[in-house]
Amino acid sequence: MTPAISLHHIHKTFGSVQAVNDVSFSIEPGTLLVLLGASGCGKTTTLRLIAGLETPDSGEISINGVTVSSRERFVQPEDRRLGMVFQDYALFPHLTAAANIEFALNGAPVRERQARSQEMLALVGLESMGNRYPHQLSGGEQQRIALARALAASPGVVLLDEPFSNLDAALRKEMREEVRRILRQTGMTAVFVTHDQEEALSLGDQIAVMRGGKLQQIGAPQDVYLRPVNREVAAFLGEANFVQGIASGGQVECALGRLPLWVPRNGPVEVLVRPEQIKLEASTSQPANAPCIEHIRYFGHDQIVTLALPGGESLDCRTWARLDLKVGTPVKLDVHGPVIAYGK
Amino acid sequence: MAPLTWRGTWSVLSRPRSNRRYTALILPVVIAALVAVPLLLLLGELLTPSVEVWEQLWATTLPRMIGNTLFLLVAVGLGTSTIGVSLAWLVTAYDFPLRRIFDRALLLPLAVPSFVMGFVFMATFDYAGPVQTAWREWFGRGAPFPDIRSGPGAALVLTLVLYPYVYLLARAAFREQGATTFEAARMMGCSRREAFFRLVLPMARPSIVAGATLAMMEAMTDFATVRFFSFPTLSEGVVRVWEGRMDRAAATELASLLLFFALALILLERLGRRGARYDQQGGRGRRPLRVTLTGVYRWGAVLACGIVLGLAFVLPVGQLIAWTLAEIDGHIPGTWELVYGQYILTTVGLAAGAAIITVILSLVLAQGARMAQGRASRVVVKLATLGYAMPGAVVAAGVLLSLSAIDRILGLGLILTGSLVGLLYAYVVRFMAVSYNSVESSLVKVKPSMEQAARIMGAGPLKILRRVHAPLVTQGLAAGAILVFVDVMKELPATMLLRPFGMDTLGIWSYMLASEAFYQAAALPALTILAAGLIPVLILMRVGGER
Amino acid sequence: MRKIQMLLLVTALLMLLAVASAPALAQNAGVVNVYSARHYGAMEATFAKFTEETGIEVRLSQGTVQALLQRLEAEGTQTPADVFFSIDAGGLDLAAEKGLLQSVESAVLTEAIPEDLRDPDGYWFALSQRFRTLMVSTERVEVGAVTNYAGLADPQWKGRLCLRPATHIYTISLTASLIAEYGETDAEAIVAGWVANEPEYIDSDSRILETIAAGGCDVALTNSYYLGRILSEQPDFPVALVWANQGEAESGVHRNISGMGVTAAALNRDNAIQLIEWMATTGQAADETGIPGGNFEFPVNPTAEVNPVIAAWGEFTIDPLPLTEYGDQQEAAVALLERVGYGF
Repeated sequence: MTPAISLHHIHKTFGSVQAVNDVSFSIEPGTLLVLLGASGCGKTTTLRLIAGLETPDSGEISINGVTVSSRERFVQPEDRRLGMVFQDYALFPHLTAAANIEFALNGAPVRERQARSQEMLALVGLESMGNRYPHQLSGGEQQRIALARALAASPGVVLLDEPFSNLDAALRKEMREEVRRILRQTGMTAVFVTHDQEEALSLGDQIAVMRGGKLQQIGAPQDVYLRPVNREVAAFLGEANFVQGIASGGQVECALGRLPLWVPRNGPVEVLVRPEQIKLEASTSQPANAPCIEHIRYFGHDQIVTLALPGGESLDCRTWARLDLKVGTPVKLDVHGPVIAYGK
Repeated sequence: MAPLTWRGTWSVLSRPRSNRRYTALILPVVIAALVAVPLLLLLGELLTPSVEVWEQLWATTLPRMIGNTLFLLVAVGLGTSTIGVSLAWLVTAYDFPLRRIFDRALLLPLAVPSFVMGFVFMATFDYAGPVQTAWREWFGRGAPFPDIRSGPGAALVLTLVLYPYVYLLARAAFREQGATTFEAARMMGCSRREAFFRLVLPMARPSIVAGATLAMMEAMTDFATVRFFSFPTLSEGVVRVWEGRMDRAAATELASLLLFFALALILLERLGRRGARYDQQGGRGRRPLRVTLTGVYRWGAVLACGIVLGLAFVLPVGQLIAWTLAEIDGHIPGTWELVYGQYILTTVGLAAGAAIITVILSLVLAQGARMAQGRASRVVVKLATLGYAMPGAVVAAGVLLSLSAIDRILGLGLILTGSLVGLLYAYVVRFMAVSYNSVESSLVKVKPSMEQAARIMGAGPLKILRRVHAPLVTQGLAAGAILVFVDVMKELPATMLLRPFGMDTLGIWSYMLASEAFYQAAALPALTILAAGLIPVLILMRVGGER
Repeated sequence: MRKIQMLLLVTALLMLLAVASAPALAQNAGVVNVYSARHYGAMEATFAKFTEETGIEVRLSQGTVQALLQRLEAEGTQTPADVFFSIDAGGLDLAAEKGLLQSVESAVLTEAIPEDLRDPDGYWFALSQRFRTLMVSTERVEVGAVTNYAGLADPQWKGRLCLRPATHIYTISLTASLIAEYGETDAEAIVAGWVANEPEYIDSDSRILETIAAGGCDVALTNSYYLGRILSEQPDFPVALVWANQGEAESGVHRNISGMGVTAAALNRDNAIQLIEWMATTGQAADETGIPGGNFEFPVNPTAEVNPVIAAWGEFTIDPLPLTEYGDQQEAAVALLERVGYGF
């Protein structure tokens, strides 16, 4: 199968800043790829390179089998058949919602354009809002129009540049579901840029984690969360404990006991343990060198319990909001499933 | 001024009783009435035309004046839009040598009063001027050269000094649109060119319309330039009939017709800006990517900016300096310094007086409107700032109508009519909007929460005034005062019609000399006005330029 | 709030009134206030000399004849002006008629100024004479090609004629003299003939002369002193003065004057008379300290010398039409100019 998007050794510098450094990946049609990373990691630049809004210094980009960027050839953005949703939506304020959508359908007969824009409005659930101007729409509605506009011309790929960053938390959640539904429904290949790991994990089919212009890891959400390729990726994707240990083959010996490894290793390592991997039992009849509760952060739906391990390390565990755990209580702990360890 | 702001502070803190909102409007209403009454009286004049006067005007010069006025408005509107928009887009979207300098310097012609440009242009390009003389030397005596003493000549001159209004606003609009709009259009299949015409231009339309209407209003108020170019317009007609025929009745009737034109222009502007709200939402951030021009285009861009700037600024300034030096050289020492000093004193006194009064009134207006809020206060502000759209001759005629009415009521003879009061009154009416805008925008910066925060931190009213209000507001007051000051220096028609004798300004002095073709002698006062006019333009260049 | 706003408003109004009333302090022992229609530049030296010799300060307010008249009329008895200085006999005559001037009896003046150059009742006194006459190119116009005002209507001057616009007092006065001389019908025919020659209207006599020199037109009507001024600096200037209407049956060249009258309400009457007397005697000098000399005009005092630059134009006959006639015909002249479509 021809990949929907493929990047081959892409480099891009701005002045002395290496914005994108040797990035390569390819994704299947119909995939929702999320580019994730802290600000300045090069994810937006990567998106803009795909869009053709930036020119790579070297490397090749092809979209649906067509080379759009290479040493010999550069296809102008208007000729790449892409849809894009901008961070600020970039709705044209002097056009109505419907006219904004129709703008993308340049060249088609009027009747067809109108039908298509109605269809798109229906898709995003705003059938009755076609005659409104952007400033008469709420943030979420503007967002939907921007998406409808990007999808209207049935582009080969849709690009979304941090589209939810201007929305409040509740709306963001709602829109996330909505966008996911719409993209699924249209079967569109999409590239979505965000710095929010929760958004990335919940939305993406594939997640590409970037850092300092380099692609760190690309894979399914479960993969990147549970089996990050390095400490930095692990820390970026969620709360993480790193515990000292000695690995030998498929097992590692550490302050939490002997744990199975996803990837066999040998020698001194740091073991990644996610807080929710740990199960706690309060226990009054424990040896004096058992872990002790040092601190509790209470969130309502759950809580983070910080333990002092006998070796002097500390460990965060997530538990439901039970009341039997108190600061100073000694506990018994149990780690679920295999873990991953990084060499030191 | 100070206690006023302080009282304002506490009234914001304490929840206003409902009738308080209306009492806050009393003074703004008085100010609005001061501005509106002259215009309304003039409007009344238009509704009760004197048949005789109109018949005579119609039979002789009126059709030509109306035609010329319309021609001038259309030509200046189109001319300033074309030049202003092209240059603004050029410096925003493209990169070429000296772009950064042009980006700011293209605002400089704003400092050149139109009548000064008019006589410099006339002296340079008319038959006896150096350009045509050189032309004939090269190509022979019969070589064709466009007739500069004509409507198109006047329109060209006015376009050259007025295009910066469009340039300034269009450039701001293009910048605000930022990169994403343009990029979004390209993602939807538009080429750069299409994106400009389908998106960038329509989105900037309100700004362009606003700039072009401002330019047209300025063109409509001008009487001196068109007179140099033998192209009588309505404004010119009011001044001509008033001064030449001593026929104030006919002048007033003409002024009322001019008022009608001004109102039509305001309406046109409203229509041009109707529809969607155009301000970009969010969307700041990255500046648009500039395309670096190459080859012919590169030098074409430099040439285009250079020609406009050369004609509209370098030429007048250079010529005025040359004339001034020649004049000083050939003059009997001791006489003209005295005269010049007197004109400066008169002009500065007049301009400063008008600036102070106008700023005080705008502060009262802005504070009152701020406290009262609501639709009523918006209407009051609109009325009070209407004068910016009114040609000087209209304001003068209106002021005269209302002052002579007051004189008649007081029964003391012509105390107010034709005194300094009339002239200052006219300046206030004409330039209230200018100072109101800067005063109001500085007042907005003082948020109630700031006053509350200062209070919670233990500051007394005086300390709040000193540490919070004063620094925030004075800048706006100063800006307003400078703008009015310079506008008064440049003002010609109202000054011409209402100045008490012995109160000639530098502008009048320069105009009088220039109209007798004493260009050398007219140069020094013109240069002085131009220099003063540079102050706000330089500030604008600093603020508006790119970092 | 209101009280303080009120206070501010009242203060502002008081300030305004204070400034406004300042110029009302017109009476002053060592001062004479002059409303002058004479243009800027040419007479500062004369007034400076007067002040030097008499200790009386001259305060000038300048404007057009029409504006000053209107001003005097509006101010009535309140006027600060002591002297009205007009560049046009019509204006002086009109002022006298409207009662704006007062009669002065002065032996000095009756001796210094010939009878036909002052008002019989002493309302005004001419101080310099100027002549509006033909100016021709020395390069393109043969001597004798045009000798009178009517001659400019000849079709040979089509496209070769420069005139001052109808709005200017010089044009109006000349037209008035034509009406007085030829009657309204014939005068109209003459002026219509000028208009038929499609003249170039230039609102400046000196620019008209420069335009002839540059080749823009070949014949024109201007005041004599403009050429005098230029000739004093450029003796080879290619424009020649032709005294108009010098033929046997013709009346002579159109004369106008500049002159002064004491206002009816003069507060400094003695100073005003002293100024006029000085002007009619010492002030008649042929150099820049004299009213005629500084401006290359002809003196009114027969004993005064004529500036050599203009004396070179030779003897000529002056239209004997009484100066007072001009004022009477002014309105008819304005109407005539409008009727024939004379340019602005």
